[in-house]
Amino acid sequence: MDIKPARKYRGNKLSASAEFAIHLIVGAFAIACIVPFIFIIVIAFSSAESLRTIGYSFFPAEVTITSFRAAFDMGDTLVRSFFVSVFVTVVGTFLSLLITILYSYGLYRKDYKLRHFFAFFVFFTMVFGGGLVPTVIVIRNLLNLGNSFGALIVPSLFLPFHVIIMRTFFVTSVPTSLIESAHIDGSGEFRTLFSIVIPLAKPGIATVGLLTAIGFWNDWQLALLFIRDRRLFPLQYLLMEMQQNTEFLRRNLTMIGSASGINLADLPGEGLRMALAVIIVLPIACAYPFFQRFIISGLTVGAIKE
Amino acid sequence: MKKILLALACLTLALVMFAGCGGGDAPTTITVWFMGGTVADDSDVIEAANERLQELGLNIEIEPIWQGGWAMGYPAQTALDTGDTDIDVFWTGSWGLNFWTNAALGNFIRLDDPENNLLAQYGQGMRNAVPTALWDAFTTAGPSGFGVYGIPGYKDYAQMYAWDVNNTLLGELGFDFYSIFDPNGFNYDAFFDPQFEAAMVAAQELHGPTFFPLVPEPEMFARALSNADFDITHTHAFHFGFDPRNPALPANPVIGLNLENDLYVRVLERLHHFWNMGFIDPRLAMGDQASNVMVEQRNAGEYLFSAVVYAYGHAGQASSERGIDARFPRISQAIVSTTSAAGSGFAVSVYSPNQGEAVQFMNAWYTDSELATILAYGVEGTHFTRNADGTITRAEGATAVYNPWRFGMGNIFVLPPTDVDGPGYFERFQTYNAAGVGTALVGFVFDTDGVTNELAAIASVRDRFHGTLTVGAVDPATTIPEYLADLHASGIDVVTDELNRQIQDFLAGR
Amino acid sequence: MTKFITKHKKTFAITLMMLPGAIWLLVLRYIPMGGLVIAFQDYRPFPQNPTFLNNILNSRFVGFDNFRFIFATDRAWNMIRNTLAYNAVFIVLTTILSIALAVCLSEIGSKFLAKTYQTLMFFPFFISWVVASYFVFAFLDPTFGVLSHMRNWYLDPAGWPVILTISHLWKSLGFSCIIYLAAITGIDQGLYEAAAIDGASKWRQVWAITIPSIKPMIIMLFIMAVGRIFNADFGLFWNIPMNMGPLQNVTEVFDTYVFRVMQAPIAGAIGMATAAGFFQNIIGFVCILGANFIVRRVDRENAMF
Repeated sequence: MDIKPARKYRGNKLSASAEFAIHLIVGAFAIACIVPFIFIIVIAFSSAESLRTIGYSFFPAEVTITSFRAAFDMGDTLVRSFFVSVFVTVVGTFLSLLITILYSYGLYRKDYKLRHFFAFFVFFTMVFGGGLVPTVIVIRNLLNLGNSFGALIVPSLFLPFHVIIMRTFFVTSVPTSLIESAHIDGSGEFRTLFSIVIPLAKPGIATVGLLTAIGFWNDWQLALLFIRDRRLFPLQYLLMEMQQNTEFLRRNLTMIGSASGINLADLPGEGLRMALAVIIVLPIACAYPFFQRFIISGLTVGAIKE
Repeated sequence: MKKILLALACLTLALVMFAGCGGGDAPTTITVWFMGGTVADDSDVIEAANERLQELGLNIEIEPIWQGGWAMGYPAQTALDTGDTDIDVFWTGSWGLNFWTNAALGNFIRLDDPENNLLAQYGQGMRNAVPTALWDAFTTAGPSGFGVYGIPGYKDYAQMYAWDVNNTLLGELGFDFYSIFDPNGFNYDAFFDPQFEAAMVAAQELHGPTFFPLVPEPEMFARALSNADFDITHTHAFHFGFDPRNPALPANPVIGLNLENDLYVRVLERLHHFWNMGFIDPRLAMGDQASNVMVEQRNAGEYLFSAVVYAYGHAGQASSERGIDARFPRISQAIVSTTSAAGSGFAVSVYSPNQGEAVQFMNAWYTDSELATILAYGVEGTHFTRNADGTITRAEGATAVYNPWRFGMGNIFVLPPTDVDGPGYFERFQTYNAAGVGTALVGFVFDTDGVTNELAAIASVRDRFHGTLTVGAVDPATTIPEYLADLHASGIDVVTDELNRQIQDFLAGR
Repeated sequence: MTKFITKHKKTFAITLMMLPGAIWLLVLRYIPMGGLVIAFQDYRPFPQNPTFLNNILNSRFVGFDNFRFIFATDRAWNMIRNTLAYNAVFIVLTTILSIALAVCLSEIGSKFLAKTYQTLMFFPFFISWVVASYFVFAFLDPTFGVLSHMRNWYLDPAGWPVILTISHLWKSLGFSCIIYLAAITGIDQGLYEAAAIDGASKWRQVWAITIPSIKPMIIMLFIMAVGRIFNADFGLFWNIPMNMGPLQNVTEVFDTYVFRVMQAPIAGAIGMATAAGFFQNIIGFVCILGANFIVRRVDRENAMF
């Protein structure tokens, strides 16, 4: 059974002036969002000399590709971390979506007897947590997940925030009557979920999926807590380490001085850090349209000017 | 339904798979968390080190963790706090993973515990190889009584502040280095020399107003001059009544507040004057920016005066890297304090299941030149070659593959020098160390129990004023009273009293 | 037994679906909660056999000592005020603006442009606060900054509440906007059709159909945001003002304060950090109950519980 969304139709169209105003406001905000990224690209292409003499500028005194070359000189490290990030993101997002959908479905079903219990069960963990130390101990000692891919995936498999969002999507986009009629047709719970609810809630699932994927991609804290083997460092952690080292060294400068031999000149230049920041964004930006298809396409079908 | 079960089965399988890592058999694996460095691939190095360990008759394998810098702060501390049993030995010191707080907390084991004296049992070699003054710095009070909780790294342990002068530029400007600085004396007063200022004016006339001749490392500049070096509380709030113009150290130091010390206040006023003159890059007042700007300006040789904690052998290296004649006239006597003596060391985790083997490994590493050389430089033939004069030459590109932070690698005096160091390097190094004057407080460690809340509050107050005050960005005349008022309100007097009480006890007990 | 299962087949099947999530919650959220006890302890390793359980059993209870540092300075109230005030402003502005943006996006005729706008809006999400702080710095840099002729921004607290608010909106609008947009997409289009036939204007349709339809989502996001009103965005408040002391009056929030304090060499920081988190939990819990109570009064159907 395949439910097609009702034909999109938006009745009267916006007036030309209203449409123009919307483009102006939304467009301006969109540009404000992308400009800093362009700025980062510019810095990544600026020479160190330029950064020193005229500061951060959209118009560098001198353009160079040294930073990107330095980034790619990291070679193996970079490639390996890239694949760690991709693997964690793909596997993590898939598993996380699955668990989240299953759990949210129960919360969405008003006729499910244990609904209130499970709703509170998940909600309570949003406000209360055991703190860092006990959580780390459970993951490392009880689940034995230290220094492995599991440590990068399992701890963020199931986020209460996403469950509640997902449930709300089910509530707003799947009419209860559909579920009832499916049951009268003799459809089992799993079939109802997969053939009725999920197709209807595609925009919501895509949204949660996107948020989950970004969460996995951007995460560096799990690596910080659990990963000791450099070969398992995700991309974000490489960047984080570079950025934090500068700050760390500054705080400890007076101490390090005596501990001669740590050469401050070896710190990654800003250009390299920016180049890495650019490299990190690109893959997920490419994956973005995949999710977006489900979020936007349903929306504007009826509004295309015929 | 089948799909779901299949997916769940996959999930379980995946979890089991990920969980299945770990284990170990015959030789005991000792995991050591080092202070890092550049290590892209250590596989053949570790293999060679393990072979050497077998040759030495130890059934031990070593597994290193190379996450240094920041990772040595927060992540390493978290590993300890969460009782990670996989890590046996941690790098530690007066910075990074703090030795004293962790020893006091009981995160490190007491090595000379009378009930289980691992140091006497396995560590006599390294005990004898490292001077007693350094062991003193790693001797402190912990849950198992007063004793040795860490193994000192043996490297430069005297600490000295120096000016960092771009003599090439100074000459261009027509100033004579020797009329401002005395290469044999202590140059505290140079800061107040009219020529010091005149040279900076001339530098800006030559290179324009966005050339900043003075590069004060935040904190260091001012501290160099007040000699508040013994930063036992990490608050930068205290001084020890030591006058840099007089190299004699007080035998009976009494703690006071830096901000109430005339020497320190004079420096801050002078800095603020220079800030107003436009000699200091305003970016130096701000966090992350400061270190970038500072390092870049100095590395490019675009400065006239700066101040540094002088590291042995730094002058030649700095000059060649920057392409200028960089000179480092002393500001103060090289001193040995608890802080400088504990610049680098190692400690055995209380959570380590292999504490005895860990000490055995450390002992072998501190005393066996071959093992130490492998871990510091890599494999002979692959990463370096030996020369007739006793030095080694690093192979082309080897430092990009394997180059740990050498000074954080235990006992560096069992290593051969590199050809860059030159033959006899470590002998000269020892002479430099020996010239350091021990303070009356070497070995004193502040027990912070009981003043925890005050220290927390002080840390917060410090951040509000310290960064800007110590590069001259704000007016000391208005800021210092405000700063002091907040410090007093945060209970700094309680800390001062406690500090003085503990110091008197320490001095009485020696 | 079989009879029981047949009778409760539906409940059974759905409970089976809940299990993976429930087990995860039990293991990774509920079990660690037992560790909260260290907020009231002088937590130390037990030298003889230092397992977590032994450490807890053998550590001394110190009552509320670990919480004292929160109020240790006379600026404590300043820091608490900042945390609550910023978050309150953020919640209100983010909610209103992201709904407005989502509605606008949904009304745009050109699918291509709507997609483009939306893609661009998501970029801030990928830019870490450290990197974003460089961008702000480019404008405010005391030497080369575009706006540096006005004043030395990093020494003068005036203007920072606005800068921080703009930075927050810049980073978070794209995120909440996409959730609302997806909710709007899920609205049954028949409703609009019917309204158009009745002659309702666009504006009227937004108020009569769009907003009521996504109301559950608005309320849910609002309640959840209120629950985190005492959890400040550390990255924002730490990196954007570049940790400048003179700005602390308007930039210090609970999370930055705790981080700052933890830099001091204090044995026993674990207890203090746990206590700080616990304190935030309690405040969040009270706030969320309050918000939920109000929602229940106004609109019982959409309350969280």
